[in-house]
Amino acid sequence: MLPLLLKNVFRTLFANFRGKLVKKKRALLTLLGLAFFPFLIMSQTVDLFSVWMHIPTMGATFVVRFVATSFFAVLVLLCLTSLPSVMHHFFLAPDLSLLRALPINKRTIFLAKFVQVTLGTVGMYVAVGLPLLVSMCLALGAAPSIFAIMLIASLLFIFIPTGLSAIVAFALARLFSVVKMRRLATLILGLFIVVTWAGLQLVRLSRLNPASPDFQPQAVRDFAAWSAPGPLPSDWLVNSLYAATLAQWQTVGLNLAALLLSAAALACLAIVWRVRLDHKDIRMDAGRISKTARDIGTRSFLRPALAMLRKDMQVTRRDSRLLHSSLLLGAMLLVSPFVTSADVGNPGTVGLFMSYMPLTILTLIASSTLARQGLPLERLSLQYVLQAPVSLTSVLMTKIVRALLLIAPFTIVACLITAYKTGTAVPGAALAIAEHLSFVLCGAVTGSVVAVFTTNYAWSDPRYMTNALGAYSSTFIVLAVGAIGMSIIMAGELLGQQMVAFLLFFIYVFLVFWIGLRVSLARFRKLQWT
Amino acid sequence: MIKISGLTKSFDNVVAVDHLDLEVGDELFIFLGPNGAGKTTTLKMMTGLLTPDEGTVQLNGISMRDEPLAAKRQFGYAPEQPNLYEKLTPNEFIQFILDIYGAPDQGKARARQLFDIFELSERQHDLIEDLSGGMKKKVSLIAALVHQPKILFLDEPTAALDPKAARHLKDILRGLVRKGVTVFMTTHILEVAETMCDRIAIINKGKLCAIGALDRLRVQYGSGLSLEDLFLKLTGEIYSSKIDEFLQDA
Repeated sequence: MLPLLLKNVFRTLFANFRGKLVKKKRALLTLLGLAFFPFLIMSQTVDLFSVWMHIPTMGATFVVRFVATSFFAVLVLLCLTSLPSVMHHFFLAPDLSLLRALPINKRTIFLAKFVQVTLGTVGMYVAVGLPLLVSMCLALGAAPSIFAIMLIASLLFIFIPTGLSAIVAFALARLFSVVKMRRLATLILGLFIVVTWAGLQLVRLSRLNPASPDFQPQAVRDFAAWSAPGPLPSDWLVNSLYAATLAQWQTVGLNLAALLLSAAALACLAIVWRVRLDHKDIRMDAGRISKTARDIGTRSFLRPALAMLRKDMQVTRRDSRLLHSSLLLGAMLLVSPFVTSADVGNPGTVGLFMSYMPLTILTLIASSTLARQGLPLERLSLQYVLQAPVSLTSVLMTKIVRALLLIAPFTIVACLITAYKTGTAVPGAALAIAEHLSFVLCGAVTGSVVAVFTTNYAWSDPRYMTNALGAYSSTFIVLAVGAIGMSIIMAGELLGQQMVAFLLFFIYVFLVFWIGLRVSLARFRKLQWT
Repeated sequence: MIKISGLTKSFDNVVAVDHLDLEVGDELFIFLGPNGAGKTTTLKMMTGLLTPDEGTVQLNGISMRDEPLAAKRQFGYAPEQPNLYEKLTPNEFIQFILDIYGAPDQGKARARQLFDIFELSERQHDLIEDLSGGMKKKVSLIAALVHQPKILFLDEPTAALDPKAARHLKDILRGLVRKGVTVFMTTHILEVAETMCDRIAIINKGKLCAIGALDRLRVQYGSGLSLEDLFLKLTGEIYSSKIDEFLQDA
């Protein structure tokens, strides 16, 4: 029975590559997007590792230490990724009741589920973990056969996070509601990704690079002296490969055995425990929202728009995907002044303008991305808004205001940080905030236009309502719109006519807003809600 | 009062609704037809979700094409698939509906009554995504009823409802019709149609096959016919031989 179940698991996994051509194209574009990650990581690490190999007395050891430490983070990431997935596939998946009704042993069912969860993490592993190992092997000058060991070790390794997550999930399921825990786990995963991303922006690997002017020998010694709390599966994986490059086959065998035994033990424990939990009372009750909806308390003509806005904000707050993307974009804005302004903050007016430019670009991209989500977040429920007595202008304005509300606070804080770091005077900082809020508006309107034109109103598959063209083109369109605005300000700075330039800039922003809204409305009215 | 004339809609050269004329007064009107007959397309045109290729829709004398917002204020609509905002609670969703229809104060008491009637008071603060299909259907029905519309468009309103809720809904609809509300509903449950309707219309392949009170239709198409027989007579054949073949192999 297991092969049959696994066949279904693989069919589900590749379901997006079957069926309609549009669906296949979308899946292929997503895959191409993901394939970019390994190359990005390898382009960063291959050269760095080669340089580290020349650090006296500790070259190879240092590279291995670095990869093992990074792999500890990969292990945590995979565990956090698996946790909500385990809760879903082992307790909440809609096919579970059907599978239980079939003449199949429960252990077989849960083994198939275990494999299914593990397969779900393969993409993440290939995108983030595998490139590090490949870079390490290249730096250590590994023979081609070592890459085969790498694949075997990786195969054993990826079952471990699933096992660990399953144990944690089952322990939590005995104490709390699975539904609540799945939501919490998804939130924690999102926050981990946001914090890790922000942290990585502040990490300056150049301090560890002997070829860089920022090189700090003490940082190398500190890093070499630090050791993760081991022994960990990530260490076994990295050590097995390092030992293989040194032809220490006994160490290779021991580390691979440790991986194999851990994976097998965790899988067995998880499956047996899950079968036993079938006889226990597992809570599946959902979370309750304690507050009763408060009255908006405003004049009647604004009430429908405010109601739509409140609904959009509630959906954004509770939908983990939307919340994570908002937080990630917010974190990008907050981190950007620390990452970029130190390099370009030259004295002088134009230099000051340039020091804000990375923030301006990020502001435009962030606001357009969030505005682009505005219509797809409605999904099939859009029918309730469309058959209600509210104008399409109100609907579109709500989407634009949502993006403004989500991005404006981060933009203001990022402007203040940049102003502090560049020593901008108070009037200049206030003007920078006003300009950036205007750019947020430009981005939000542009995002809305792109959303109306490129959202697939495919009611049969609302998960993919924004098509790939929309996602890719919106960045270029919004940057083109922003570039005109930036050129106006820049021209004012160069010609010494700042006030005229700002006036022209604000007129330009108004025009973008007005034209964007008209164009969106014209298209919105023509759409058929079949 | 609903008046539609010459209503036509095609998709990719397939005529879904073909020059449909109807007048529905303050009554419980049931719109019947096989799958794909054009019932939902008609409902979507009547509620402004689809623009007709030809023809007009008037709700209480207000044209959907000329004054869409005023026309939309006239009705409540419960679609066949509820498709609610999964991340809101029923309470928040109903509050949202009341706010966009501009009836929050009067509506709160009605919402409480309807939550009680449909036994959802205990679940009104749970997220909609955690409710069962039947409960979601009840929430969409409450949303259609709560803002006191003068016209109700209901697409398969009793589907997925438990017998008690279905009975409550029928009683509410009968009561509303007595108070002058127009109820326009589709259903595949012919028993519901038979016991509830003032008039029925049967549509097939986008065209109206029959319209009138059930008794009149029986006189017209054959006395002694049940609604099921009448429906099948007007909309298609029964595959008796294929069923016999299947049963022989079973």
